[in-house]
Amino acid sequence: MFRLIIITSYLFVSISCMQEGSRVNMQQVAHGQEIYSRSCANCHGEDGKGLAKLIPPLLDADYLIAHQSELPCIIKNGIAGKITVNKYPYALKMPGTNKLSDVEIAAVCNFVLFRYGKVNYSISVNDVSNQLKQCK
Amino acid sequence: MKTSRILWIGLVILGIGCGDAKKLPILGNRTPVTKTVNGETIIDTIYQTLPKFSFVNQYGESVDESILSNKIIIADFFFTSCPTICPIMKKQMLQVYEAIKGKSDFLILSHTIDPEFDTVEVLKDYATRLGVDDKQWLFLTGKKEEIYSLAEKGYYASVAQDSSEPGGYVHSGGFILVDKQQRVRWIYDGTSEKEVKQLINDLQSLVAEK
Repeated sequence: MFRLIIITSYLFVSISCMQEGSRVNMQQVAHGQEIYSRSCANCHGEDGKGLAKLIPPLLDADYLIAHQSELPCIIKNGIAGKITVNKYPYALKMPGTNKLSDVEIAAVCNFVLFRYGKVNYSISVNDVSNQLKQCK
Repeated sequence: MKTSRILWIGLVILGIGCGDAKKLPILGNRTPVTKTVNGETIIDTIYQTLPKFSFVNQYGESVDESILSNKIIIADFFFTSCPTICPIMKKQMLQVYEAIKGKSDFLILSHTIDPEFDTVEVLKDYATRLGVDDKQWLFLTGKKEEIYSLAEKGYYASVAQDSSEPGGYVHSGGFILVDKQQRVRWIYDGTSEKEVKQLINDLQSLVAEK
C-alpha cells in the first residue's frame, strides 16, 4: 500500500512537470531564438541590450517581467508612446511583426523570457492565443 | 648579429612603408582637362566632389557645404522610425564616433530621408539618446528633393520612398567616406562590424594623405 502511494505520487509529480507552462521548453526556446534573430535583433540586439537610450533593453528589463502577459500583443502589434524600462523613459515607436503565427509568437516569448528575463517557466501556445484575442 | 638586426629593422620599415602606400581609390566621374603650364600642354584630372547643399542640424542651425572644409566626412542615410537596418547602422556609427571624438579632422553627417517626420526636435532627441551632444556628429534634415539628390549624385547612395517596405523607405546601409577635397573615397557596409572596423582603420591613412 505504502509503495503504491509512493509510485502514484511519483507519477503525479512527473505528469504535472510535463504539463505545458510548467517548465522551459528548450525546443521552443531554440525556435524562438531563430525568429528573434530575424525579426527582433536588428533593434534589440543579439545580446538583448537594445541601443543606447534609444531602444530599450530586454536583458534584465523590469518592464519585460512586469508586462509579460502583454508580450504576445507587443510582439504582434508593436507599441507607441512612452514606456519606462529600468527607470528610463523610451518613446521610439516599436513596429509590430504581424506576419508571425501564434506558435511563432509563443516561441519568441519563451526565448525572450528565458534568455533575457531569466525565468524558468514557459508560456503555452494556448495562453498566447488567448492573450492575442485580448489585445487592446 | 648586428647586421641581421639592422636587416630586420629595415624589413619592418619597408613593411610599414608598403602599408602606407595602399591608398584608397577616388570614386566617381573624372573629367580630363587640358592645361598649359610653363608652355607645356598637360592633361589634368578633375574629380567629382560633393555638390553644394543647405540643411538644418539637430540644434536648429543652418549648415551648408562650408562645414565640409578641411574635414574628412563619414556620411550615412537613415530615418528615426526605421525598423530595419538603421539601429544596427547607428550602433556601428557609435563605434566610429568613439574613434573620432575630439579629433577635429573628422565629422559625421547622418542625413534623414524622412524630413517630414524627422524634425529638428525629433533629431535632437534621437541624437541625445544615442549619447551625441557635440557637433562632431550632425543629424541633418532639409528639403526632401535636396537630400535625395545629394544621396544619389553626391554620395552614390540609393534612397527611395517605398510603401511596401517596413517603415516606408528603402535606403542603402552604406557609410560613405569623403576626403578633405570632398571626393568620395570608399563606401562601407554600415551593418557589418568588420567593414566598419576597416573604415576606422582607413581614417588614419586618409588623414595622413598629403
